[in-house]
Amino acid sequence: MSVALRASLLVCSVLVLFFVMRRIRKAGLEISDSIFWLALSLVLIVIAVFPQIAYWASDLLGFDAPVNFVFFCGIIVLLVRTFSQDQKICQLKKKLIALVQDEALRD
Amino acid sequence: MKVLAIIPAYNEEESISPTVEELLAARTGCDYLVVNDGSSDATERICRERGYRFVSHPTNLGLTGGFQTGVKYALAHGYDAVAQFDADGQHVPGFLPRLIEEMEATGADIVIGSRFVTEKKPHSARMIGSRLISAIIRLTTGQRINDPTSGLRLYDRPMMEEFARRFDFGPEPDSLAYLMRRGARVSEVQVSMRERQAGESYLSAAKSISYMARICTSVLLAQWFR
Repeated sequence: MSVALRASLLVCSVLVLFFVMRRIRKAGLEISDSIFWLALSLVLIVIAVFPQIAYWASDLLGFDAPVNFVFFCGIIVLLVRTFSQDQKICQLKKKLIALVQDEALRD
Repeated sequence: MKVLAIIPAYNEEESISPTVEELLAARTGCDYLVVNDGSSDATERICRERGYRFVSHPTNLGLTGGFQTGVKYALAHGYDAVAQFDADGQHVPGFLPRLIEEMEATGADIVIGSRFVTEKKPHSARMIGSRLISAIIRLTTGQRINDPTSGLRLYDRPMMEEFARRFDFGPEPDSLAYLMRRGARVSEVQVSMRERQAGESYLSAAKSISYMARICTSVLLAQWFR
């Protein structure tokens, strides 16, 4: 991993960290959701500071380049996140339908 | 048999009044309920001014949620069956008694007011979708439904309970196929329908492709995991 990539990872993670903190302070994010973003930015910082971890893991799993491993992990994390958000939206829809119908049918 | 005609209405200010008046004039023996699905136009005001029986959603839920509200109302008020009836003037209320007779005579769980029992299905572009849905229903249930997309249907009490209980379970062909696989008996009665008179359809031309994709996926795949 190049120095430039490590630097941008570091900058991005610090920015994420900063934004998450600000959102939590303004109550724009639930604490349980913020855990995900905090953990993500911490992991990015750790990888930017100790790229040996990425070298070791990509070697172990047979990636051509450590950077591919980092990107791959990012994609997987985002896919899982999207899926869980779909589930959450579905739950919210169920609640909304129940509320609207209750309101409509109240005599 | 005590039957409730459920009329889901979303922005139907032009056609809701003629539809209800025609239904009343036809003396079908059915009660009716307009489910105003969060309309932004005068639909609710018209219903209130004319003294129609209606309930109003505070926001728009779509056909599935609107029909379900009607079913929940029917269950709470002790109806034996519900009919799905379009607010846009496509359906002729005079056919409702025939659907009810068919249910009483055959004991069917679902009676469809079908355009193609004795009439032949035309070979038009619009009917390609209908044929495709018929074909996959036949494939998955082994039974023939001539007019799966007809919106004029009568459901008995066990079916009402299914519609009230389930989530994402609209009065659409995929639900029909699911219920048929679970042993529901379906019967079709020949009816005629009119073209839409006014207003905005739940199925505009732009939406029809995504409608087909959704129904086909649902019939072929998703229903098995329900």
